[in-house]
Amino acid sequence: MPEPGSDVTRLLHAWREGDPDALERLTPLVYQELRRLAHNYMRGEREGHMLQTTALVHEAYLRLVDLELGFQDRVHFFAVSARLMRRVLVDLARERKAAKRGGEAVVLPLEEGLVATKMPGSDVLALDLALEQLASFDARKARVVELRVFGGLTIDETAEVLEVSHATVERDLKLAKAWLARSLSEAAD
Amino acid sequence: MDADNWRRIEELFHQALELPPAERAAFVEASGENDEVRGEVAALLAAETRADEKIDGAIADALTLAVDEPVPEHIGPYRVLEKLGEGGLATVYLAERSDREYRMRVAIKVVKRGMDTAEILRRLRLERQILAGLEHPNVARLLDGGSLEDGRPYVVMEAIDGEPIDRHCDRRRLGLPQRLAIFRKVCSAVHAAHRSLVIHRDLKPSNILVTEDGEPKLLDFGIAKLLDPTRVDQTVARTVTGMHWLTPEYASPEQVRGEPLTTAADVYALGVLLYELLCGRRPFHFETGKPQEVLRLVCESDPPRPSTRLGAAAGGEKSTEEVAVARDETPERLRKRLEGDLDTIVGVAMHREPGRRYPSAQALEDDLRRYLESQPLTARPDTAFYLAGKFIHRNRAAVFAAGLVVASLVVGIIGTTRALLIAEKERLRAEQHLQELEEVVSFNVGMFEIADPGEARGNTVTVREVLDRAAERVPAELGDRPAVAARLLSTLGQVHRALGLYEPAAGLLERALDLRRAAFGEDSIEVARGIHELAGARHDQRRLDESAELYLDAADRRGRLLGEDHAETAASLHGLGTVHLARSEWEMAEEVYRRALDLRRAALGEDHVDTAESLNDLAEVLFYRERYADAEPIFEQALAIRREHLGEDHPAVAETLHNLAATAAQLSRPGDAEERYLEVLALRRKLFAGPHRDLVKTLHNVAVAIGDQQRIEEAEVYLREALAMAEAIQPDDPLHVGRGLRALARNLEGQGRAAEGEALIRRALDLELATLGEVHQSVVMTRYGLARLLDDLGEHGEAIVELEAQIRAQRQLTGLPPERLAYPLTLLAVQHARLGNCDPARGALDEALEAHPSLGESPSLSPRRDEVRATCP
Repeated sequence: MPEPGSDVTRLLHAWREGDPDALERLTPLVYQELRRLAHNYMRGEREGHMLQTTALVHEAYLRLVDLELGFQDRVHFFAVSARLMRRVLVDLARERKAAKRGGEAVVLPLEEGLVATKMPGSDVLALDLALEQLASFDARKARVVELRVFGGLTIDETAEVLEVSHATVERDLKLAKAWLARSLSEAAD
Repeated sequence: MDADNWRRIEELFHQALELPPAERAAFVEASGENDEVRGEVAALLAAETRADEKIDGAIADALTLAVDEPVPEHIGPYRVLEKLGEGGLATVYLAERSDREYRMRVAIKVVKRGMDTAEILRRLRLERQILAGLEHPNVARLLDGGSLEDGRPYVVMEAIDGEPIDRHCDRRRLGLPQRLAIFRKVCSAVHAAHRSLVIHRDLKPSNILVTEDGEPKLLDFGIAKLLDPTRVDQTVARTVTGMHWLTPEYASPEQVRGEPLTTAADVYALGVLLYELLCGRRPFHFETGKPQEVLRLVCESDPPRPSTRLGAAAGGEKSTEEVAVARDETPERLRKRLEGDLDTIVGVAMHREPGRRYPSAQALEDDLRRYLESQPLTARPDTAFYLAGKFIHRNRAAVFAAGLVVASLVVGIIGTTRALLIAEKERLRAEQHLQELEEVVSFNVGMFEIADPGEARGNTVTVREVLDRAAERVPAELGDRPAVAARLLSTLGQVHRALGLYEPAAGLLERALDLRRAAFGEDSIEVARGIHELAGARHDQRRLDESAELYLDAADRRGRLLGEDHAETAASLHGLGTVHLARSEWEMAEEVYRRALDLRRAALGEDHVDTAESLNDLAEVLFYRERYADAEPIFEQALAIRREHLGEDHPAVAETLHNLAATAAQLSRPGDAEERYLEVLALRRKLFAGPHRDLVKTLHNVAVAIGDQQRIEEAEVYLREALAMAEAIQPDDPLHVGRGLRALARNLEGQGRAAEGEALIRRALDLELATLGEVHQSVVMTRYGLARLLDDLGEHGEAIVELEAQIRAQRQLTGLPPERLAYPLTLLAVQHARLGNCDPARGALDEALEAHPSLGESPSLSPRRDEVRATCP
């Protein structure tokens, strides 16, 4: 089996150099790895209280990127992974939903009056939708959440990717999370 | 959200957060903001306290889905009963299938979600084809395969009710002779697998179940390998970085080192298994199980003799006394029995160097037989090396000659070509050289195909693996020379096609085409060639629409670049004809073939193999259009040209001979036909190492010729072989599997086993309808066969439904002689008559007479007419 490492490193460089195809080719490699890791990871013992997605993305990084990358490439990797991690989780939830076709209804956020039993993964679908909604009027805050929560970027790394200050990220995160949590509550009620 | 409001919400929210929680609500209320802003901020502040928990919870919740897959109710046509087990990459379910006829329990292995990478899927498909051909009483049979709605593949296997071989033997306190008897069957199963080009790679007790009546059954044959590609190239380094490590106790030194594996790895694992069955312990005791330790013990030390290991229980192992009791022996007697021959046999099987082990599982079994019969072993302690060497020499000589030649040539081409290409001005010469080498490779692969498939077959694995490796190496080593890489990939693609490995062939040709585009530009002859080759591969895969489009595209490009009358243009046109033929579009096929034939005659002359191809294929269309007398002389012409240019032992000669045999059969000379078919069968069994569509065709037709001479039970044997082989090549191929099912059903009907026949033919119909649609010759024929069976079973109403559907479709089918309609119409008339409905019976008979005025002369149709007239005067 070809080692994926060198590929990812090369693609990351190419992407940062402005090759638009590179991202397209990078995506499936990272997606696949994240998904595989999510699987293995959840089977094994989990230690500590690090956010699980953070651990996964870091593990993917260790496995896929074979050279010690510069700070910028590293951050870019996590930025790509953040979005893909989100997709992995949403896909998992959707597939479960499809598998239970005709079973429990899934509650859509901000839609009142729908009462249904909660099924695993429905929260992440609601979260995904809420994030999309947040992005429609404040894209940066949605991205901050994505990078931090799904990608496991530190505050400083998030600031670097978005080219804003450390303080701004912290503030954005506070508000965005509160907003999302409220959407989730509304969805669940 | 109003942007201004949002800004103000943000500001107020952060201001409020600065305050102690108790003061926030009042602060917001007193802020003087509008209602919406105040309301929103209050809600956000309330949500803020539990925000992390909620969001992290949602994610953690979704992550559990990665593992915790619900047990599906159904997988394909099977009803799932329970989950049997779960591995890293797949889940196994116990399921059952209930048909009208029978109920059967099966084990279904489904690739887990997220494990369905392209590589795993590709391997699964390829291996499924190979496994389907693997029939052995001691191998759990592969019964079926398919894909779930989300595309994940599954395989259906015989469900085995038994326990692992070690437990089975211990619990029943089986003595050494009984253990060896079971173990020998395992050897023969492994050997059969090796002959089918499958290496197990994960032989261990939990993969070998023994049934209540003492039959061992190998599970997961090859699945383990294909479901876990990491193991193929497993390296210690990888395991260090956290990859799961698979049962190192049974891994051969080469496996531990992550080297490419051959059948010798399985022989080693059999040695370990034998070791354990004999002395109750595994050869090596790993203290830590860490890769470094495994590497050191397995690769750098020799295992102790079983007789010695018996008395040396490591921590946690059974006492020597317990081991002996489980073998119905005392410790001392057991040790004595192991000393000598059995120690020696295990030692040879587990030799650290693959080349010094028994050359095959069969050879291991043979020596055990000699031991049991008290004959001298081939392996003696003092001469083990010498004799093992001789074995290898004798058994492997033929195959190594073929296999390694191909290997070295493919690798050699890359090296040589690179060297030659260093100087740009020598490019042309290099290209010529390359072409020569390609021819040499093709030639040698041909040699390999016709190599003796007897003793040495297990080792042909090497050749396939070599091809795979070559395919991987080409782009890596010739990345800077896309033109050359493209040609080599093309060649490899053709080699795979020749070996019947259609899926990988198509993949290689796709890659070759991409490279050609990059190297030569879209508007080049090379690209046209690549398209033509890919069209052929698509045809092999039965992706006929794509194939037709590609052939048309290739013909168009070649016409533009080389001229309308160029031989290559003719070749693409001819290819298009083959697609029409496969789609039963006879008129179109004939027209296109005639056009290609004219072009080839003009460009190449009468006496040319390509012209012979056109002649042969044109005659095939005539044959399908039932113009047998016209077809026969054209086949004769093609045969003469092919024999002259290609020699007697060539697949193309076999093809035309086959066609002539078929023609003789149709011209009511079944004796001639049988004789010629058997000739073709013998030739083709030599030509093809494994399952092949042409071999299916031959088997099928041998059966027909034999059946035509009323030796119907003899024919069944050939039909069953043909069907099994068609399924092995592609389980859901409507044309070949469908035809096989139909023919077998017809045969069983003839033997008075109509109910068995009906089940088969319904399977055929489902398969064909799913892929071919209603208006297709195969479907029409299947419906007719079904109707006849229903008639036999007295189900006249159901028969009418089938016949009406058939007649509707057949009327739309172009190219069939109209009098053919008389067959379903007369049968329909009979059904109505038997149900006492005389009006429709007479109506159908009238229509039949209209289609076929002289049907009274037909021996099969006139009795029907007479019956209808007698019942409904």
